[in-house]
Amino acid sequence: MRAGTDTETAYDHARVPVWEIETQAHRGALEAVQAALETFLEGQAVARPLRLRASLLVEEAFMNAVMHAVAGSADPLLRLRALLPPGELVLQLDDRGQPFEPEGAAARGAAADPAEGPLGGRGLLLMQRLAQHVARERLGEVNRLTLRLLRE
Amino acid sequence: MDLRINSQADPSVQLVVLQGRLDTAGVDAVETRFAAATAGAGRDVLVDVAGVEILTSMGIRMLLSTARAMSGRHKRLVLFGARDLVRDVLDIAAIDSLVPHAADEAQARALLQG
Repeated sequence: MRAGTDTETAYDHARVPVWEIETQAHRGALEAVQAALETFLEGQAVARPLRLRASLLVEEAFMNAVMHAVAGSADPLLRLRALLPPGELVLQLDDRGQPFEPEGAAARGAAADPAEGPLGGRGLLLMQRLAQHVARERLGEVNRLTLRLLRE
Repeated sequence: MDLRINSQADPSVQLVVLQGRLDTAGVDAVETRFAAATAGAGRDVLVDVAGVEILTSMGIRMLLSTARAMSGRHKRLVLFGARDLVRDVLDIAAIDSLVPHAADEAQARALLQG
C-alpha cells in the first residue's frame, strides 16, 4: 500500500490538497484505507460528519470494485484519491477491472423486497443518495468513479 | 464494533446494544455474536443503535439476514435510536417492512406490541 499527500493543479487552476493511496483490491485492505483517508481529512479540518460519510462511500465503492470490477483481474490494484477543492470533497476510485455499467443496479437495490429479495445490492443506492454527484468514466483501461460531497 | 446484551425482566424481549461502526470490518467482528444474540434468542429483539456511527450496505445485509431468520420463527427485530448518518442510511435502504426503526426504546416496544 502506498499513500501520499500533495497539492495539485485542478479545479479552475486552484491548488488543492490531494491525498492518494494505491492498494491491493481485497477486502482486508479496506479498513486501513478508510483509517488513512480519515486521518488525512481530519488534518484538513474536514468536519467529523463529512469524514464519516466519506468513509462510508469509500467502503461502498471499494467493495463494489472488489466484488464486481476486479474479480479475476490481472491487475487487482485500486487507487483512491481525495481532493479538497473549495467547498467540496471529491473522492475518486480507479480500477483496471472490467467496464462496469451500473444502469439499473441502484434502482434494483431500491426496489429489493427486504423479506425475499437479494440481501445485498444497496451499495450503489447509498452512493447515489449520499453523494451530491456521482460520475463514472472509462479512461483507457481504467474505470474511474468520482463522488462529490459538499463541505458545509 | 462492540455488542452488549442486556438481560431484562421482560422474558419476551431481548435488548442488544451495538456501538461503533457497522461496516465491513464491524460486521466481520460482530456478526456471529449478533446472530446468536438475536436469531438465537428465541425472543423478539430490540437493538439500540444510538452508538452506531456508520452503517454500510454490509451492515444492512447483516440486519436483513438476521431479521429473516427471526421472521421464520415468528420473532421480530426492531432498531431504535439511529442518529444522523445511520438514520439517513436506514431511510434510503427502505428495509422498514422487515427491520423497522423507531426513535427511542418506548416507540420500539410499541412497534413490537402493534
